[in-house]
Amino acid sequence: MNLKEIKEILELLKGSDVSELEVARGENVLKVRRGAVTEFRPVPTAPYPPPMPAEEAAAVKAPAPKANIKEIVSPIVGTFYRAPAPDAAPFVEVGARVTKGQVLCIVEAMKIMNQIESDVSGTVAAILVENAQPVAYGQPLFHIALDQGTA
Amino acid sequence: MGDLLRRILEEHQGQFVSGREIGSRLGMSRAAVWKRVQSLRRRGFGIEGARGAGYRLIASPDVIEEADLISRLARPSFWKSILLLPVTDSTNRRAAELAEKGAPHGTVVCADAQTAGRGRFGRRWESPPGLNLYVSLLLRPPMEPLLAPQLTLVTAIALAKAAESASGIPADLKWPNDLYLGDRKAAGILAEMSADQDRLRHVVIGAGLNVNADLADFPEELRKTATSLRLQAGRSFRRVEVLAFFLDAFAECFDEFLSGGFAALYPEWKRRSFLDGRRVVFRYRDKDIEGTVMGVDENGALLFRRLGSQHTERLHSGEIISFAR
Repeated sequence: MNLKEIKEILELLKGSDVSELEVARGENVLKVRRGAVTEFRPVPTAPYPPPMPAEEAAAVKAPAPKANIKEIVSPIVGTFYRAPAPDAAPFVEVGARVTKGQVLCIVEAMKIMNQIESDVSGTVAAILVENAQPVAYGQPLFHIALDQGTA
Repeated sequence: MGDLLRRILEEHQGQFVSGREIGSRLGMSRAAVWKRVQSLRRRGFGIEGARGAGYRLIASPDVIEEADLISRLARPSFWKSILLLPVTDSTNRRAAELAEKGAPHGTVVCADAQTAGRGRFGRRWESPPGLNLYVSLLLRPPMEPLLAPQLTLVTAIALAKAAESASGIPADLKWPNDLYLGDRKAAGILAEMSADQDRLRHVVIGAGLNVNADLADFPEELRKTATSLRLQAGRSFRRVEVLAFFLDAFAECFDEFLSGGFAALYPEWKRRSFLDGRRVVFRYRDKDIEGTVMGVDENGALLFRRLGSQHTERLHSGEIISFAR
């Protein structure tokens, strides 16, 4: 993939309403995400304490979502919680069926509790962050395998 | 009819009025008057009855009435809908339900009592009837989800301004959203948002402000650390007055936040942030870390320096669990 090709792809996107695109050519992968992200300066810092190298590595190594997989990402910098209270059962486990609008987790920052809902129906394929771990803006949290025919 | 009886009792300013006089003014029998008295008592009025003397009013409930509240607001147009409930499980839960049904930005839910008042992570918030403010605001701010957490600090500032306007007592803030009067906690905030990465659907911000609570109204374990406006000022407050101050202060702070970001409110935060430069214990993920509060940054994150470190960290989660008093 050369610069010219990338430029062409970006030009093509301008006229469309596609918000996210992944193009693979052999070893090369081009990922494009548009929209809100560029309007505000994302806060680059993770919540306290800074993630251990192992945690960062884990986040990077998370498998890239396939075509029938919807990736749920964190809309804020904060702390990831899998359950509504410390002694409560997790919202979802791997393999669980979820419907659109169902709560998957909470991300907390500055004491605002953000209930993250699934925007698709499907099955929880992967939970990418451990309970009570810091998450960054845009960090993938879940992979949801879409129901056949709804992708 | 009940209000006419109330007015007659109020006219006599705590002096007895005979049942016969009340009956003739209301055009009813003394037995019917007694029934009206019972009904007022159920609404929280303290009415003493004495054989041969009649009735006298010894206490009026501190009720919040919508017309009274609205007439006190400097900016009533900010608030599109105000719901006042005698009792509910949790005002945040009511507000979230209203949000799902499409209630507008600027909806207020206030209850006299909560049966399941909540703090974070399902912790209980003590909500005895008639004494304090339990109020939730439903907002649909036109902003990135990324910025929404800063609304907790914005709300804390509004609450501090309201408490100070009502009582004249300086109100301090502890990151990110606790209101302190004289080193004791007087209010807490529980904020919940519904958003995905691109879109903020709604935010519900609940505030519990201790107004007229006495020490005995707090559970044992909070008596050394909690306070109320009344305990600090040595007098009672009309809750409607405090609520009106809060709604006005919030409308003002919210507009400043929308146009200028948290930076616009930063001086106000800094002025009230009483732990700046003080030694604290910060808890994150069950770990307690000693250090010093250095302030907040322009996004509302806590600036914190661990004991013995020269490096200042920005914290988005966790809480200050104790500080040097």
